[in-house]
Amino acid sequence: MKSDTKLKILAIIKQNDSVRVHDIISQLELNHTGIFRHLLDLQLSGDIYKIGTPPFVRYFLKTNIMEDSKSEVLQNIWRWAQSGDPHAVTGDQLCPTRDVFQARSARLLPVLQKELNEGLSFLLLAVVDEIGNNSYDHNLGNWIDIAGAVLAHDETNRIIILSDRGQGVRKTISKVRANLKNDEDALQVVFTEIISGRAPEQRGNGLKFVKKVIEENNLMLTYFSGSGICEIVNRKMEIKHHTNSIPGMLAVIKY
Amino acid sequence: MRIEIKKFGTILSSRPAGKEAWLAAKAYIVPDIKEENVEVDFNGVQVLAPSWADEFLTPLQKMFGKKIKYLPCDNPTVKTTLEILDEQHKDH
Repeated sequence: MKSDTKLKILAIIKQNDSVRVHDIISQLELNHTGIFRHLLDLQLSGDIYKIGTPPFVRYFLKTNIMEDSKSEVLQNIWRWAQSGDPHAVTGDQLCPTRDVFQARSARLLPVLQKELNEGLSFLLLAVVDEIGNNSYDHNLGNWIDIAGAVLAHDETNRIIILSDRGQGVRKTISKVRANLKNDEDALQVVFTEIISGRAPEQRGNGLKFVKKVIEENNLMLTYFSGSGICEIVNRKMEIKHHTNSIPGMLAVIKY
Repeated sequence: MRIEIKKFGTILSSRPAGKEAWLAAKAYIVPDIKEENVEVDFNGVQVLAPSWADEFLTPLQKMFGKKIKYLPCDNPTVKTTLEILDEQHKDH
């Protein structure tokens, strides 16, 4: 959990796209030594990066997790999500059936409990289970090529990755929302409205739950589907366009 | 009558599991409730996700309405899930 000062620094950078250190010092009215220490911590934790050399250094938010992540696990799963390359994921990451997924996700709990407080580890597991179970709920019989969801935990980079080679969010809800313009629209709907791709069944609150937990606990989520990205960082959700399309879904939870 | 949710498991997170739990409850627990108030006890549950809860608690709520009382629980997944379900029920 980040300190209040670090959250304020991240908010200032986000608001301005990029900032110089004296912008932060003047807004927060704190001494420069402390600000530099917080900026260094934020770089080490992977939240920001800097460009330029003194005195022209500017700080930016790391918003594109795919381009900036050092996680080899994530890079491999990204490749799998895009191409279906069976060599990109391992047998202990791919869960061909829901039963396998449930068993493996349950094994995450004791691992998370070592790093997080009990309540947060329960919430994080609930988020993982909601996203992962969606893969089976909405893609059974509709996988592009490989059945099942991928679940991986990169402990070093503190990320959990889920992915599937399913039909993607837009197609999932296209029958109940025929007027969707693009994948970004579809992501906006599933993260903010109670809607079910399996109407007339009354369901479709899972991703609202995910959003609520991520925001309330200041976690980070990047959720790709089609050419859309839903990113929740610093307690705010933003929907963006992405040039490298993911046919199914890929979600990265950073904690 | 008290329904102890932990008897269905401590990690409750998928729709099929929630549906199965509801069918079992309807067959063996619910018939004994009849006109009584129903207390739902989440004590001992580690993870309650909305998918499971929607399959179990929504039909229970439909069947018993205001006779249901959710007993206080500190688990954050239970609290958040009940809040989400409450919003869903208001919308429908």
